[in-house]
Amino acid sequence: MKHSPRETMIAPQTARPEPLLVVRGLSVTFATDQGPLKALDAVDLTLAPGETLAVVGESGSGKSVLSLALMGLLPPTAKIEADALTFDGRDLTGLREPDFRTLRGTAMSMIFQEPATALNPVRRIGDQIVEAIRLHEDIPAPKARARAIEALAATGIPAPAERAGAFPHQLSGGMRQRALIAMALVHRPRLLIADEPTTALDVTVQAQILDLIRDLARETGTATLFITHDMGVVAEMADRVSVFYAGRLVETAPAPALFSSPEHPYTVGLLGSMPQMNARGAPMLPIRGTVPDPRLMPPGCHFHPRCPFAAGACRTDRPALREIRPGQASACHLAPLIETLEARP
Amino acid sequence: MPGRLAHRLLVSIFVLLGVLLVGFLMLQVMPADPAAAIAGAQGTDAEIETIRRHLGLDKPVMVQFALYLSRVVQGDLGQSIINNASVFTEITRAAGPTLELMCAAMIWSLPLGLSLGITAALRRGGILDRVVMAISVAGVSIPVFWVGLLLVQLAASTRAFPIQGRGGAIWTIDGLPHVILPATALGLILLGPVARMTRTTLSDALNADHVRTARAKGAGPARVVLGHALRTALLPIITLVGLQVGALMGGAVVTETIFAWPGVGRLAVNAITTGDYPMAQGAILFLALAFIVVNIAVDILSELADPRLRSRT
Repeated sequence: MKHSPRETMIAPQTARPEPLLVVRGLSVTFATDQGPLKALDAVDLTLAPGETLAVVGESGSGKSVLSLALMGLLPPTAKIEADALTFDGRDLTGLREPDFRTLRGTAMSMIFQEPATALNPVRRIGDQIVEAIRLHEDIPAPKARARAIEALAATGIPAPAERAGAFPHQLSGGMRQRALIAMALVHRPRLLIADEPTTALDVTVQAQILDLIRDLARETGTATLFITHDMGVVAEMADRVSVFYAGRLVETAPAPALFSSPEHPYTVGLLGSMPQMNARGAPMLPIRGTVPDPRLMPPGCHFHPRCPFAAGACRTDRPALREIRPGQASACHLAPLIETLEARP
Repeated sequence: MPGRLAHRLLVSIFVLLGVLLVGFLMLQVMPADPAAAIAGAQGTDAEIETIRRHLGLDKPVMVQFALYLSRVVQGDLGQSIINNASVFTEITRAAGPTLELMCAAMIWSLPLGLSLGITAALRRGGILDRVVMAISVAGVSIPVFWVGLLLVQLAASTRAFPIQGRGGAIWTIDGLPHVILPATALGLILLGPVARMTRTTLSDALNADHVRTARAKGAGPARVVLGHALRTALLPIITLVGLQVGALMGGAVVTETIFAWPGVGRLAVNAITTGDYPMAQGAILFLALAFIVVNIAVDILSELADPRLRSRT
């Protein structure tokens, strides 16, 4: 599969002169004992300053690998190739680790899925935030401490000065995630990568955390890359959505367009799998089958074995990402779906 | 934490009682008859009988144990039946050299074991990792007495180090060369297990979520490994060291005997071989006491290393 998947470049919906993040043709391959394993296969992504992009996909779709690749946190066994990978005007592909380190936590930061384990269990919350501050700013400890408590207060943690002295196990899951958000935003990054930040939380807390991320991101002008598998979260948070399947980008669209007229059968399936998106009385449409083994990817479109509409070319040719409507692109031979399917006998 | 400590101390009392009982019974079943030993080769049966009565050896075993216990509680460990020296004095005199030897063994093997383990964890699967693991397997499986005898032979042929006895306090110029060989032999007991445990726990910790968070903050490799990963990996290492101190004391008995080091271990061995049972019991009691103290220290250190333990009682 050594052909270029792109025929058309997708322009960001609102044409801003300088996108914050540009990813083109990013592939990540892991060297494993069973041979190379391609976790990301030539994916594209653009993110404007202040924008919220949701990256959606099942586990194994490569969305977490994407976030780690952007942060430069992949293990050395991962081989990263990209036609372009620029962040804030800087080329990240050739960036040396010490230079990358100065970006992490300052210009780009990340929050994780499991607040229970993402904090160091043996160090106090406040000390961990102070560390994050002083790694990049040469300020005296008491001043950093005051900043840390301020940051905790901004996330709505009650009694922040006391909580700063607590160990992670003394806080609830929601509080820990707030602390992690405080730590991630302490340097007002330009990009926040949120990797399923509410998945491990109680439903009641999830909404609070989503509100908090949105409000703080708006306040600091931070662009957010929101990784999730939950279409409800997408509807709540995203300006734009990129759908990943088996290491490939299959569809990208403004959030309203994606929900009203999805242009990839996989997206249709994702939306169909979400109960409240169905019309009343309509049956739920789960996607049949499971994500293929990354070592045994089917030829052609990775989704064709599970696709109800798959036809000849789907089994042989990798579909290129094509612009269907302004701002909406789909990697499906059959897109636009409605016209194609109606034209079928 | 005070509650935990009190609980620990209470348990320790029972452990000590157990040690006293086992030590007492072990010497009961020893084939040597202390009374005969004191009477010497020319002693008549009547003389032996008198000595036996004098020592209380004619009384029932449980009565002997009760008498022994009441004396120990009063701090009276009895006298050597060989040279009439006070057991308590002899043991306090030998305790210093034993502690010196154990400290000298730990002072090189702990940092080296940690460093080897860290190196292996960072280069997992690499050549360095395999070398370190080979060293640690060797450290675990080669018996101390063999290393000790080898070192003695080596030193004897090269005359690089004194091989017998103690030349004074180990921090003095006279004392230091004497401790090097025994400390080398003894430290090997700790080296392998510590290296292995460090490698395992640190490898796990390096993959932990919070270490990824630290890297995402922009922390450099040294801070990530030492400040975050090793900090959380420390707990099982501390526990292991606590347990290994038991092995270290067993090793000290052997090492002291090989290198004629005037410590409690050698005292115990000499006492047992000469049938000097009060002395042997005293030495065993001391070693058990040391083990208990070390374990309480380990408990306290563990709680310092991991705040999650502090909230439990």
